[in-house]
Amino acid sequence: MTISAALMLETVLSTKLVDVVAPATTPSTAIAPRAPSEKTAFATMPAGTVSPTTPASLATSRLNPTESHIHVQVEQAPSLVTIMLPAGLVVAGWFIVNKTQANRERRKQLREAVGDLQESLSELEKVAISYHSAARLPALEREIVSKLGRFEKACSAIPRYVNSQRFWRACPPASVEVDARSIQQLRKAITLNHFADEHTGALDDQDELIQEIDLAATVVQERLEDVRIAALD
Amino acid sequence: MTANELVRVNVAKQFSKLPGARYIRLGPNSGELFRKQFLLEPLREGKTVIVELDGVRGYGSSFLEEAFGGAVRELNLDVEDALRRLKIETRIESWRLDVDEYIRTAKDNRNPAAA
Repeated sequence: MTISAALMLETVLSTKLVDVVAPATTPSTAIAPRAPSEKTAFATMPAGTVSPTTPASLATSRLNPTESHIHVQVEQAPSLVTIMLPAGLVVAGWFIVNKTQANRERRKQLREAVGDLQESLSELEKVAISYHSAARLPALEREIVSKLGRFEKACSAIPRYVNSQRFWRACPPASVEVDARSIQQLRKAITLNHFADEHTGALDDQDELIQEIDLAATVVQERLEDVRIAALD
Repeated sequence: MTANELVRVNVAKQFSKLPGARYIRLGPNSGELFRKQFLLEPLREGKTVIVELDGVRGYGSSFLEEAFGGAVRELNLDVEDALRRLKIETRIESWRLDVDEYIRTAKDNRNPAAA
């Protein structure tokens, strides 16, 4: 085997030691000099000697004084693992960054939606109190029912911001649920009594019903704030 | 007839997308009208009624109370029986809670203003 062939082997074979048998007359300097720091080491050994790492199968070469036993260590080509690991880490890193950014954007959307709900609730509370505090206005009844319906639908849609994610959700689903019981109390306060035909005239702003609406709206605002905080980065 | 027989009612498709007030005399699409048109007969026959609430503009509590609580009162249903045979389907949990409460408290809520 020639030296050049041995060099070619360097690029394709594993790190196991390769023993090359060369004629004794071949000067060791014929081998391309390499820096000591290089991993691949070439060594010319006196004829008849065997490298400690030489496989036993080649030990017979020491019996032939005409041959010099060249011990060549060839660097192993990168294995599949060493190629794929960095690539896999790059892909995993990209995925993590991408998913983190997507979740951050989702939480931002969620906070905006909750902010809109808080404004809607303030408006609903204002309309409801003005309805109960004045003479009956059927048009206002329809408006209240409509606003209340839209508000309830929007609240029930909030958990879908995270429930639509299969894994690695932007927030824990339970943390973005607007308490249905508090919304029910709000709807009861506004539309169960003194509503429609039961509207007997303007209520005083200190009336129990007005206070009840105020309290129920405050509780829902607090629940919405809990959701908004849960969606902070 | 048994409770195993199901009657499905979709409020938005079969009644109105704009449910109204409590009583018929107060305007169209009232809770009282809904009760008479869709709830009383199947419940009287021992059927189970599944009511789909979604798809409407919204409900006043007075509509829901008169429709469901009113059915319990009118037929003098046992609360457990009513809860078993009046089933609500909706994505809005507060509506389900509302109906559930009106069924449970129906007999305490007899309204003297009833038509």
